[in-house]
Amino acid sequence: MCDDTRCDDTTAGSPPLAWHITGATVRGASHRRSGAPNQDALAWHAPAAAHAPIILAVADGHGSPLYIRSGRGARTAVHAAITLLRRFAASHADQPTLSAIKRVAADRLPRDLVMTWGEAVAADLAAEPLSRRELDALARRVSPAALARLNANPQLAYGSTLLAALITDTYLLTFQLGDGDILLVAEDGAAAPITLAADPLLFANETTSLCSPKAWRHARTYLQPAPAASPPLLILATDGYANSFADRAGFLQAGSDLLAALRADGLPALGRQLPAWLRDTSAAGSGDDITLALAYRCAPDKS
Amino acid sequence: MSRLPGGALAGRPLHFFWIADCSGSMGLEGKIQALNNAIREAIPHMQQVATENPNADVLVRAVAFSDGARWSLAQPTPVADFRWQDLKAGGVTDMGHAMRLLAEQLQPNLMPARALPPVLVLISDGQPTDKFDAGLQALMEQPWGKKAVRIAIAIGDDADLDVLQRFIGHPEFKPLRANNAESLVRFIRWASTEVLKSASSPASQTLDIAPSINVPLPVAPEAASGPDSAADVW
Repeated sequence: MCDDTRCDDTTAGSPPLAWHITGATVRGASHRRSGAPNQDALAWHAPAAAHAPIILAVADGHGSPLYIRSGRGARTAVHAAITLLRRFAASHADQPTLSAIKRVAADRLPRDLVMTWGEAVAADLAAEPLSRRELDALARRVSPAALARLNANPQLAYGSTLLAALITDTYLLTFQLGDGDILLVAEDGAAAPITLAADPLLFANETTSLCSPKAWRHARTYLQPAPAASPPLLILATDGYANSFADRAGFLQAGSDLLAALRADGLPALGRQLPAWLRDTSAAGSGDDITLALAYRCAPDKS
Repeated sequence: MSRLPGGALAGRPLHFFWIADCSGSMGLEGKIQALNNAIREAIPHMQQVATENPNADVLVRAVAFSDGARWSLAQPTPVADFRWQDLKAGGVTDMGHAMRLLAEQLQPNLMPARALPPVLVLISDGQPTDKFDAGLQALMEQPWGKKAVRIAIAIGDDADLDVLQRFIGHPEFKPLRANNAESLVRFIRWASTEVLKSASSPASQTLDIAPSINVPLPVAPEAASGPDSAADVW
């Protein structure tokens, strides 16, 4: 994980703007009670060089007992996203139109990300196969049939969601596989999901996953132009955050409040405060792990 | 900013339903009283589990079925306030009607998307006398009905195990068979504590690994070894 900013001064006549990145991942209240680790992961890439792409990624490793290495699966997922989106930005910088980039993103990125994750997981399993100790402990918690499914496909142990965003001078590209939220917060503080259509499959503790068969079918990509007037705040959140609020409006209000806090106190102060806020939110809300990644766009001296 | 970002925070609702057979045969050999006692006895343990999992807001309801079906506890009641009203036996076994009552309450407009999977515990000693399949179909047509944790407890040897298995809808899980009051206490305690505990945790998993189990169910207890006398066997 790295933390840096860069200037975006491509709009003639306007003051230079910069993307400022921060985020936090915290162990959920129920995980602390049960002794389970934080199974979420967070990573970002924000080089200082002008015009370099900004990338953010969060992932939520499944919490059910079968997914005994889901924290590793989540970390693998965010690193795969950073690697692949950097490559994507470099490879498609010369595409003639945003439509062409959008098409490539929709056609290739989901499969490439799922396969890259799968290859990394396979390498991890080759280096450290599921141990007798892990499997024996699991056998006391799941049915023989569930254990048989894991033995047949050990990659299940690493099951995770993945949300990622790539911000370049010309476009904002997001990728989502599984539950969680990607929010845009407008200048006036209004927060909205980047895509309006909710996935009807994602409820009752069940999610699409990187470890699903042909997982790329479930991925959703979204691309929009990134002019100077693009929303000042992009938020990636694992589902433990939205599930902590009594209703959807309360969750969207969090986007507005985070933008207000960034404007009032600046990014370093918010970055310091964020872990405590997320821990308190989990304790009074869902109890789940919570991870947020924020990309904030403003003049460098306003950060 | 002194307060946390966002609106009001809340634990995730977890709706828990008792579905109790009150047909005439439940009045024989003290079965209905054993059921009343077992649930009443389980309440403090259920409340303790809920206290230990404050991120789930457990809300209890109860359906009784015999000649038709009715809510014996209609309002979603916080488990801390849950009191069991004794059920009385009499009539036939309109289990299908109970399924339809549940289906009505599990409609998406009545269940927030952030809810935890509901828990349905069906307890019966007989065979449905109405259109059970149609009722079950209505329940399973509701997304929350399909995703519910469905537990079935058979009382005595006359319970229709095939019907209870269809209610469970999962080949890895079988109806629990209580042939005496002690076993019934044990199974009801398990459903209201261990199952509740599993359902209370935000343990996500992938949805398309068949057959679906969206809550990792704990291992069920064995039936009690045996009653003191043959007269205590159902």
